[in-house]
Amino acid sequence: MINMIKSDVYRITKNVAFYSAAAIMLFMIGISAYVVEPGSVGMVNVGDVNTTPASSNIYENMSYEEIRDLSVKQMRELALNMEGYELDRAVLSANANLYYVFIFIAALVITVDFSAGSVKNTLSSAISRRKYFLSKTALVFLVCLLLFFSNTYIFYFANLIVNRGKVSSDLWTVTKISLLQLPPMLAIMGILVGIAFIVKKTSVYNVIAIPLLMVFQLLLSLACTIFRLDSKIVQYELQVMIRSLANDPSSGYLLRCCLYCGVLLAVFLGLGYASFRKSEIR
Amino acid sequence: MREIVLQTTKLCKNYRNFAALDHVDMTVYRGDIYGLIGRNGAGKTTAMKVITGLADKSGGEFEIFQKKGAEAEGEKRRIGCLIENPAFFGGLTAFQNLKYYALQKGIADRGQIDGALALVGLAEVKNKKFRKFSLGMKQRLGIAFALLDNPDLIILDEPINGLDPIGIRELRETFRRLNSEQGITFIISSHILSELYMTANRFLIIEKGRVLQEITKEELDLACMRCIAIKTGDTKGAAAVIEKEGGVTDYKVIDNSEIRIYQKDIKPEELNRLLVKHDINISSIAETGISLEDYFKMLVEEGK
Repeated sequence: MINMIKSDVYRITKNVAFYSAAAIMLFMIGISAYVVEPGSVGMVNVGDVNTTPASSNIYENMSYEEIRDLSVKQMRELALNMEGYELDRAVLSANANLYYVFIFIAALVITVDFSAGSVKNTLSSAISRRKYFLSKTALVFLVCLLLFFSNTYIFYFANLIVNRGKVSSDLWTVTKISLLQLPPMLAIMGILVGIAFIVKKTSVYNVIAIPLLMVFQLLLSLACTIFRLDSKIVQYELQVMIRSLANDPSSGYLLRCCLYCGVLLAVFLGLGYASFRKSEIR
Repeated sequence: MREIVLQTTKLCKNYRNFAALDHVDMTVYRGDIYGLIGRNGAGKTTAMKVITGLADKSGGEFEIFQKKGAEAEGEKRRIGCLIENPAFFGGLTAFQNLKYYALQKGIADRGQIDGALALVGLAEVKNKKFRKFSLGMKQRLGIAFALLDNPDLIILDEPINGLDPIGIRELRETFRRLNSEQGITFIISSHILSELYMTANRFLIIEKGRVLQEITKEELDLACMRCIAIKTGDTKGAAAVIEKEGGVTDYKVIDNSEIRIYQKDIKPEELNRLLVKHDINISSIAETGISLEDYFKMLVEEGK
């Protein structure tokens, strides 16, 4: 298994796209630190008005034209002077953005091997299917966790340096939030690994994985509306969960999240392995 | 007693209503260059895929190095193979692709990669990206991969596809040299009979998933040797005459227009007189040996 992981690390570090993804991540960190605002896609914008400057009341006494004509530097100054604002916490609340980086990692490690057909070279002479599955899964988790924690701490220090500590949390808070967010992050990794092993081909994987989070959110919203479901169910949507876990969750909520994410992880990894174990390699 | 490297017993592989392998029995001894002969879709690749674990068997058993089931999994490290088209990472060079697999197999010696590339004539293009390779070069890289880590058994599925005549000859000599000097056993599939005949010492002839014959080269030579070929439009009538009147028992009706007689004590002119006497029109009658293709065709017809 170690040899498999070593060989895949060798392969993906020869891939320019891997470095491009890292560069994009660093670029986004820089942008977020400078504009004092996290980026996000999806449901996470809905929520606590004090979470970010954009949803807070710092523009309350300004007209639309005044807000529109503000320069980035002026917006920065307003945000930096916002009382109680923790940019680290806000960025960590939007960590669901890393889903799109994780999609790429799972594709690079798993589906590229199937799409190229090179998986048959490995399975026919070097390793059993079980070890292959375990090695690939372990590597996806390792790389994604590395990116997750790198994203956290690189941003923490970038924020500290760029904004002179004005909107920084302490290091322990950042670490605690990251650890609290591990269950949904691991669940996301497990879902992507499972999908990758089920569909195997990169093109099909991308078609399913890229819109998956948004489609699920849309269906959940529709279900809540049509079937008048308790809106609390939305709290267990992964992106909302990541945001909520960054903002002092209750122990009961945390426990329920761990259970739910544990089930998701087990189900998708189980489905992925079951599909891969018996499938013919073409 | 020769060591058995691979043995299949009533090996079956079914896809819905179609039997890709139908009770295949096969024995490969250490030191063999074993040829799998069959038409496209005969089951050669399917057999290789089942043996190497790329597909599950539907029935029967197989043993690799006299081990089966989970124990056989551990023997996969002694096997090198190229199944179907060679598949590697397009963005990596030839050397990098082999290094990837060398890392997987735990091969620390970089010289083995260079050695494998040199054996197949790719040493000078080792830093060229795989996506820029011609078909023949891709095929050679696949063979280099199979040769990595000095395996005891090498399984090659149509290895000469895409190779030029000189490349084919070089590869044939490489296989023979590895077989004689290092005792490596080969299983090679092809539908090009003449080439496989020059390389292998034992053959398995397969058609529609069924084994038609397992035969040594010496037996194949014997089977393809002298016979009297009669070309006639009335094979049924001719067969009846030569059997009843000529006392011929060792003959085969090849198709609608040809009969071959293997009996050694019969002369063509005698048969000619006999057939003419019974008003059987003959277009030609002559002594001949049969080609491999004809022998294969005959087996296939018999198999039907």
